[in-house]
Amino acid sequence: MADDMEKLYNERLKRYATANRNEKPDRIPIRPFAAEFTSKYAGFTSQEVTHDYEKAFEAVRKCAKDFSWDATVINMIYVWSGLVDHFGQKYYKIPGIELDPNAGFQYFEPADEEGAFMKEDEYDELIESPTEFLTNVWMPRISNNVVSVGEPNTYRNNMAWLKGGLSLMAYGGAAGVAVEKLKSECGTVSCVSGPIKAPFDILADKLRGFRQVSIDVYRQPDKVEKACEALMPYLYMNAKVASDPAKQVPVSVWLHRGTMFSKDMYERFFWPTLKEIIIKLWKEDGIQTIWYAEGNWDKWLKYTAELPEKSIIYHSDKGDIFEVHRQVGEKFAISGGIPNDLLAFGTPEEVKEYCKKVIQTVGKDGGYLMDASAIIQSDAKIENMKAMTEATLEYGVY
Amino acid sequence: MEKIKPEAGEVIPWEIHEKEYEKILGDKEILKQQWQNIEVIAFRFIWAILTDF
Repeated sequence: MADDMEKLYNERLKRYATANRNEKPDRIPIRPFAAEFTSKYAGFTSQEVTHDYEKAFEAVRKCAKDFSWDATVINMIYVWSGLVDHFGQKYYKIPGIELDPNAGFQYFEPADEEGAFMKEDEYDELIESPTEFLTNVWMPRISNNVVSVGEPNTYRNNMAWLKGGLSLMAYGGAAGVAVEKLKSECGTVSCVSGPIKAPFDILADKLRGFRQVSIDVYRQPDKVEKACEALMPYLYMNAKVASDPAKQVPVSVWLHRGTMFSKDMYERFFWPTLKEIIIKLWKEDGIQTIWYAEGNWDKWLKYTAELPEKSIIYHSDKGDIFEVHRQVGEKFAISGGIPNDLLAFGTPEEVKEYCKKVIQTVGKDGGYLMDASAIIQSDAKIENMKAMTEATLEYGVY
Repeated sequence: MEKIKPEAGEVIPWEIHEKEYEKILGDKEILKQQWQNIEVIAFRFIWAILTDF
């Protein structure tokens, strides 16, 4: 790596790590979570970056260079459809196959009990042995190729396991190279490592489906609660083994269904197990979590405030970022809050003005990272993304 | 059906696999270490399909 690029990278890593710890760096870091915007900017179709991860990595590098991003995700189009194709997952619709080549991939959640990947009477089996349940029951249902235990084995079943495993290894190896290239070619930090999902979100997203689990919390609440507790250590370990060994790059939790329930239900089903995962990662492993609050999580700010100081970076999506700052800004760094509709439909002047307002309030004492509210897709205007960078460089220096 | 009940981070624990050897004449720790290295990767595959893909 060239000396000047190494110097730039080290400056950015320090800036990123300092802001993450809710301290004041030399200036506010620019840390966008950008998905289909990168392919639009780099001249690729959505199909190209979804199915060819090298193009996805290349598109991110082009944006990182041209927009002076301090830190970013090496590939925010996180579903590599090659793996989906090899393993035979049923729940994605892929650009260039079922969707227009320029559409983003879509997840299709089970809509009824018949389609649910975990049935209403299978809680005990999940609770008893989560990894075996996933392997023996869940995977045969989500894959076109995997057969259940006891069914006659097939060539396609054997190949699905072989190719699924090899695909993940191939992607993991390429991702490691992409992290190094982002560093050596752009001086940009790969900003996130292992993934967390709240145990309840896993039940709602991938196992039962939201409609089914919404019934379960009334009909069999004890089993839902026990299932969240059973999933917890596995989801903790899943994040830990994929985390940054140097502990400089946080893991991230993608928050989905917690805002859709009452206080009592949030307290019983959603919060306790998620809280324990985040605290364990922080206290035992020194790993921070990006609290990616998709939607508006303001009503649960008092719970989030129970987490240890600096344990999370609170990412504000549709919540009121100024209120988030008032309530938890003393404890945690904050990121995001630049509305995606402003980036899509506003003018560069409006974007700069809004960024300035966020910088001068939320970011006035450090502990703020510039980013859009939600993942940046192809509707963001290029001139507005430039304006976001310009505003940070102009107003975000301490 | 056999129930293994693997803990987080493993899929077939070393303690179960160890019993499948008739005897180990050499260093058991070498076998154990290599077994556990791949256990973590296999665990990650199962759970990555659930959480990442």
